[in-house]
Amino acid sequence: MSSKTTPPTWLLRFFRWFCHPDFQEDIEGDLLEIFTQQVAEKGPQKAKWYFLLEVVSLIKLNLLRPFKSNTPFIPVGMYKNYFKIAWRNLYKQKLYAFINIGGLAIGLTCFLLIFVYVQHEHSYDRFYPNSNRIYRVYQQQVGNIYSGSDYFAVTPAGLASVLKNEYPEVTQATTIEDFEALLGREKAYFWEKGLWADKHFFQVFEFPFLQGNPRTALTQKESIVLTASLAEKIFGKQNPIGQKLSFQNNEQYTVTGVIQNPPVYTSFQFSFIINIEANANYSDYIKKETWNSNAYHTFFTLNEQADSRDLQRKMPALVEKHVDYGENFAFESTYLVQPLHDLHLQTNINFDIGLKGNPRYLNLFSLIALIVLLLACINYMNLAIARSIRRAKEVGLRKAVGAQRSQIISQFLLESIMITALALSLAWVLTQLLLPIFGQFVERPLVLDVVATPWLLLGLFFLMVLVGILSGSYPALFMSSLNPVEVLKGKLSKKNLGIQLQRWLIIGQYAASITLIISSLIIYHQFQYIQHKELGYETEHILSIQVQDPSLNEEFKVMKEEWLQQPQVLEVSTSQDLPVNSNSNTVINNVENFDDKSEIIIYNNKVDYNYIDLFGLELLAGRNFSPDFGTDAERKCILNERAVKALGWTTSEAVGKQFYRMQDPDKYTVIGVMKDFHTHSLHLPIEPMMLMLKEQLSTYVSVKVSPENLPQTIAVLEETMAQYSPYPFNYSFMDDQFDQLYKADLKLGKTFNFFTMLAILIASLGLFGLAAFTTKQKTKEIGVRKVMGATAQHITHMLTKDFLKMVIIGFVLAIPVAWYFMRQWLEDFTYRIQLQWWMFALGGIIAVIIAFLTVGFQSFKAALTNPVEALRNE
Amino acid sequence: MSKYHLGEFEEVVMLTVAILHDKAYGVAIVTEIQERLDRKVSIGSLQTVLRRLEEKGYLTSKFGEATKERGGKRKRFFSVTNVGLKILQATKEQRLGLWNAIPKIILNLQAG
Repeated sequence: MSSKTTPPTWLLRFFRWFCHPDFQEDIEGDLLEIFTQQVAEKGPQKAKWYFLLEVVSLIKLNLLRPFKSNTPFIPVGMYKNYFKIAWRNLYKQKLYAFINIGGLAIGLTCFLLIFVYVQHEHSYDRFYPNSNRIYRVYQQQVGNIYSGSDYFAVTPAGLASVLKNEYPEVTQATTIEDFEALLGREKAYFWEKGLWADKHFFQVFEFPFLQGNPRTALTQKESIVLTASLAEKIFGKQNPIGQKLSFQNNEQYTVTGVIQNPPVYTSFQFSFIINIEANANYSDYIKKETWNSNAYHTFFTLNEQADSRDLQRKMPALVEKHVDYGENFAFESTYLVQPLHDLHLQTNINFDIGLKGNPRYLNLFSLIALIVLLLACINYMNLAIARSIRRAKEVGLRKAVGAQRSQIISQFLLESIMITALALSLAWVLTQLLLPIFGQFVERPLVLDVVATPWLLLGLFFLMVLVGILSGSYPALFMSSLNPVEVLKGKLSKKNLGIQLQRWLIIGQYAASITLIISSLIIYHQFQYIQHKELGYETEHILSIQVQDPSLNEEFKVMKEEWLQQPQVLEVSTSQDLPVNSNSNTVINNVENFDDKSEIIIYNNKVDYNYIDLFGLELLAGRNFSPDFGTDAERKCILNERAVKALGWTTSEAVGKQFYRMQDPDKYTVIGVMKDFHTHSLHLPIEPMMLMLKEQLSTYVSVKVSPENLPQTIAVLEETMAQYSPYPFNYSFMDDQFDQLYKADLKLGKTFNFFTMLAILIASLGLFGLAAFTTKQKTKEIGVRKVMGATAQHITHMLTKDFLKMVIIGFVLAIPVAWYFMRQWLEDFTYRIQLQWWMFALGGIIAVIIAFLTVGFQSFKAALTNPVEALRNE
Repeated sequence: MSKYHLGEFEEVVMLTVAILHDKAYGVAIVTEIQERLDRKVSIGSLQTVLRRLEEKGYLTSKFGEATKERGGKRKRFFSVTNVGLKILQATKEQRLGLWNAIPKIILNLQAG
């Protein structure tokens, strides 16, 4: 040959790709021969051009590779072999098999649990046949902040009929109010959740009827529709239609229909529906021409062509036309149209209807599930790379006998998918076992049912393949790139074994785990802070009873006296709200310098003489309400420091001052100033507060008891009350109520702890496996070192220091991440702890200790073995 | 005799294969056609015809020994089958028949 110039490789590849395999060899030979000639005659440049022309000229129909599968033969034997080898590898190295499958199973279990939860939360209110056409109206009153939000779910009573009559795109509209009440007949009464609803309810919400007619069920004034379960509870096997039921001291309610029990994923919680015309308040409101109050939920359906955004644009005109709160109301209403599907996960609206999900949970849980799964995948990768030294010879041999790279890749992917499949079946079992517990925790009836949702099976299959590929791809690519000659000669150096990547993976794992540890610590401290924060009122040994019986009013004083005669009962008080949960607010004005801007939103509570003493509220100036004055019930009030400050007074000068209250021509007089207490949870700031006197029975009765013999005391209280009222004795402890305020936070904390532990477990499993492997690799080295006089300490140090270094780098990476997320989380609390360096340090120390225990155990064991055994090993 | 009519290029290729006898492989055929007919032929057009003729059964082929030239690729040597030979002869006779049918006068005019 005259020249060593070769034709362009890509053209050759292209040729090989399209040419029929039977013709390939000799034609390629011809091509090369001509190319060589051309180079000699015309030079390499022209030869290459000519080569291109030749290749293109070869694209002839009868020279092409057949389009059908070019390997009609499926190498079943080969796949069998892959499975066999994978199985043998697992079987031979049980520790790795355990760590791999166990780690992946834990990760997948988390993933499945959270998947079921997320899916459940997103399935609410979708079962109505017309669910995507159902909307509701809620409103924003900018600036009218109540419990941290100025959105309100309630609307005027007349809104539904205006929507229906004045807007052609609205096909049907209904008004709803939810409540709880006693319902029953004769001796059988039940405390049930119910809905007031107008006669169009079943045209908007098409619940299937078992008995009765949805069109006429709510047309009669005193008609009532039951769910199947309540109907059975009250009437047993009797036909409920036409039967009379008693509700709110009226025995004339007639059962006109029975509907199927609503599915679990229904936002509305109810077991009966009553015609809202029987509601006296509603009957008053509905007559009003202009609207000045909001108490009802309005839902409606749009026709198929309508766009809810068009309707939204018409809302300001509607408000303009119908709403008028009078001069003294400072806030403008904006009506907002919202699809029913968004109802369940919208949580910042006051007085909202229906069961609520927690979108923050959902996001956080999903994130954590992915992290845990990712950690498990990383484990797999790490161990696979570590084991590659063992497997390298196998790969070398396979390649030597003709395996192509794609075959090696598919072998290793198949292996990881197989392991994922094993892990997934384990995860399936675990999920089924844990789902009831997890469901209880998130308060949802969660099920993982493949029979009911066949697409889930497909989803699981994809999950398996995805996780398999995710965790197997790097090892597969890496293993398949090994050079058979080097491998078989035993020339594998550590460098080309992906050690560097492996290190970074471990560092990443530890960074994630340490972030979680630090976060858990900080969350724990914030809760400690909440629980020990001086609230300004007492919560211990106080029972509060929610009174539902209006007929108890007259007897209350007698009952109170009877209770107070018990030595265990220290104090009794009645109030409209409890200090943990200030509900009603109003607007006041400073008299002296009156203008629109001086309006102050203030929470108000009606209490009796004993309230301040019972809850241990501290008076800073003035006096408590007292029967001695006789006129305390007439516009006398006790303010807290915030309110006094907002009115522009000092604590000492406030007593005796007067102010105006919204829509009331007469002045209110301050008789006392109390110290600020937390009117809401620590998420929210302390608000201005005023107490007014109401001696008669209100919503709550609180009883302070002595700590001894609680069950007996409760029994006595219940017995006494039973003499005066047939209603159930519905009590709770104040400290439990207080905990209720932080239920979501506490759950978040618990979840965090749980997943943190899982993450650490998985990371430790990985580290353990890797340490075991490295130690084994170094058996000889350890033997030699020991012979040369190294002590056990030296050896342990040598083996562990590498791992500890990685953990520490992980720690350094974790600090900013944890700092960032925890600051965000804490910002949600108005009252919160400061982030301190030792919280981070503690997290790091915990991680180092765990890592040391994991690695150190193995290293120490290795360090103690007799060198003779190590060296004789081969 | 045969319903199949050889195309002009097919005929040239078959004749060249016959001429080269034992040494008829791709490049050799190209070169031979080039020398004898002064006609440039691309490998693509040659190969597609060779395979078509082989499929018809007019040509047959076998691999030669691998050599160090041509990147170690073997040559495929083609030879004309009996059927192919008959077709060639039939073609030649058809042509001759046509020639013979031309009136002498025309040939003379041309010559003159």
